[in-house]
Amino acid sequence: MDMLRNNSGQVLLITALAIALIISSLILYVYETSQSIAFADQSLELNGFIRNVKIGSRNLVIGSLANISSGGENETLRINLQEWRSFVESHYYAGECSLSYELCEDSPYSSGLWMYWGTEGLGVSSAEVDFSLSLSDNSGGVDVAYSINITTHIEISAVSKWISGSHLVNVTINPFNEGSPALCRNITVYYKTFSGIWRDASTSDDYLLKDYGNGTYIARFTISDQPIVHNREIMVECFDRRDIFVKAVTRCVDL
Amino acid sequence: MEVMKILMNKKGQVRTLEALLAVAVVFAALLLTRPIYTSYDNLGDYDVLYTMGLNVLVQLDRDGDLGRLISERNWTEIADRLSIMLPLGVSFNLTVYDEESNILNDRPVSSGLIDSKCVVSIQYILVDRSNLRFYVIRLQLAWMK
Repeated sequence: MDMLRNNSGQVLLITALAIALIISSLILYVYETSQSIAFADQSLELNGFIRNVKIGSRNLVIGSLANISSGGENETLRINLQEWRSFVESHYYAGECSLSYELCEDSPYSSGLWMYWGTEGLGVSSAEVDFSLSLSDNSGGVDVAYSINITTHIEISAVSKWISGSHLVNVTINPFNEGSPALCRNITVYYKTFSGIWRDASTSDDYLLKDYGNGTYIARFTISDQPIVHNREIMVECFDRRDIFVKAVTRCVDL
Repeated sequence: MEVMKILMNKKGQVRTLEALLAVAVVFAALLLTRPIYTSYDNLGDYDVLYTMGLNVLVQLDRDGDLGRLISERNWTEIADRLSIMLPLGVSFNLTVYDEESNILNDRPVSSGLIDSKCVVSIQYILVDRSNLRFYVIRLQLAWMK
């Protein structure tokens, strides 16, 4: 008993060392095991998914509008949206996901589309869809409503001058994406001949299309060997950078 | 009797010193494991990597470039763009799946081996504007050692 009492300090130290060892190994164990289960904040992933779906929806509407404006069926938009809906819903793993959409029917839209290729110098290719995304998991749910409107429009104006038996024509073309000046991938200018046939202006020897780089294009060309035509009709066909097609017709102002 | 008292007092002091030493040993253990605590608490790394990866994918997808590059199977260009957009010190590995979950990239789109305990996996769903196909992208990011 006496010996034990005399050695109690050493026992205390050994116990302390044991406790220190247990603490160290416990922390090390927690650290090691935590590595496999650590992941990004759940709300961050949720917001990331919402952002991802919004961008995907936008790209889908752009692709569909490009297809329809180039001659595809109007129904393409609805079919693509249906496929997108199934795809999104089947790729959310943190809970339940529901994506619904509604094609805009407010005038001038019909089935989510507005195609106006007018004769007063304005052409519009547009699509509008309202989406609603619902996500739910154990911690609750999130409902997000967003609208996607993709619009490509062009405004054109033309002037014509009759000089020594030829028409000198200047066409100003302004394309827009969602109301902001935009650039085009391809522009084709046509003029109507005396006999009422559309002819590609680039066949003229002096055809020049100038790109000002700020969303303004000017086409210059001369129409020779034809009788005088007052207020000649000019047509511009344009593919924007997103491959959305739009065209417009206008009449030249005779100078 | 007097001698005994002095001896007992000294013993008491020794006990106190021993107890202090024991406490010091325990605290030393706590102090030594502090660096591990720090790295364990540093879960912000995951958030940083996740946000960074998502931003890069969104940026690549904004003008439809990512979908176009995938449909062209231009894996080299995708790897180059990721290398440019991600900061130095971050390694990546990208896998592209089609709608039927088949892997499309026939060679690795990566910056080398991802050898880290802090690996973030980002899933991104994508629409290719040109042919309206859907893809799933899995981007893994890690801090290089």
